[in-house]
Amino acid sequence: MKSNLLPNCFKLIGATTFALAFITPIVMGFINQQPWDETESRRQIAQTIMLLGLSAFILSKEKIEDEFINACRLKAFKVAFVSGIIYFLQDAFGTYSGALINSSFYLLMMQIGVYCIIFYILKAGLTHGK
Amino acid sequence: MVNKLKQSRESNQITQEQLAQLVGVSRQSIISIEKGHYVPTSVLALKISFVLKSKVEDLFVLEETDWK
Repeated sequence: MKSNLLPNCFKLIGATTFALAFITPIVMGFINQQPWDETESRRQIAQTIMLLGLSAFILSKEKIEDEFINACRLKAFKVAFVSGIIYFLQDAFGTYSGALINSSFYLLMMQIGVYCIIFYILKAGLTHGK
Repeated sequence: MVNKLKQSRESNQITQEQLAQLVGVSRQSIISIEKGHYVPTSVLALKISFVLKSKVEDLFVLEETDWK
């Protein structure tokens, strides 16, 4: 089955990159006695690396790629896409603060998070949906 | 759709892992098909029926609700 995804080793690389980008600023904040999110440039760098890590994680192949995994992936992408639209609408019309561009990180994090949850629930067969 | 994959596999004395290897999918796929969580494509259904020496229509049976 032809697939344009990254090799499976990128799962580990992506997860490690995300974990390091998540933990390092917090540790540095403790060392410097300054909350990590108060340093704008450090925050932006960490957020970018976190997104890159998670993107590599979700865009890499499973150990065995088959039609079932593809079906799970498509369903998870569908739910993540729709939840992104709902998030955007809620952000734009619900609690609009004029900061939509600044919230794109949280939008993407939420979408990737939803994707991961749905994908692994489907893969584990914890639903009865067909 | 209901399927008789588990009964047929057991009568052929094949494990889920062996069947998965024979048809080229993951064991998780076979588990999901057996539980009825996932309906395989026609290609995979034909591969499974070939390995289990059964007819596809004997393994996978349409229900009344599938026609609605």
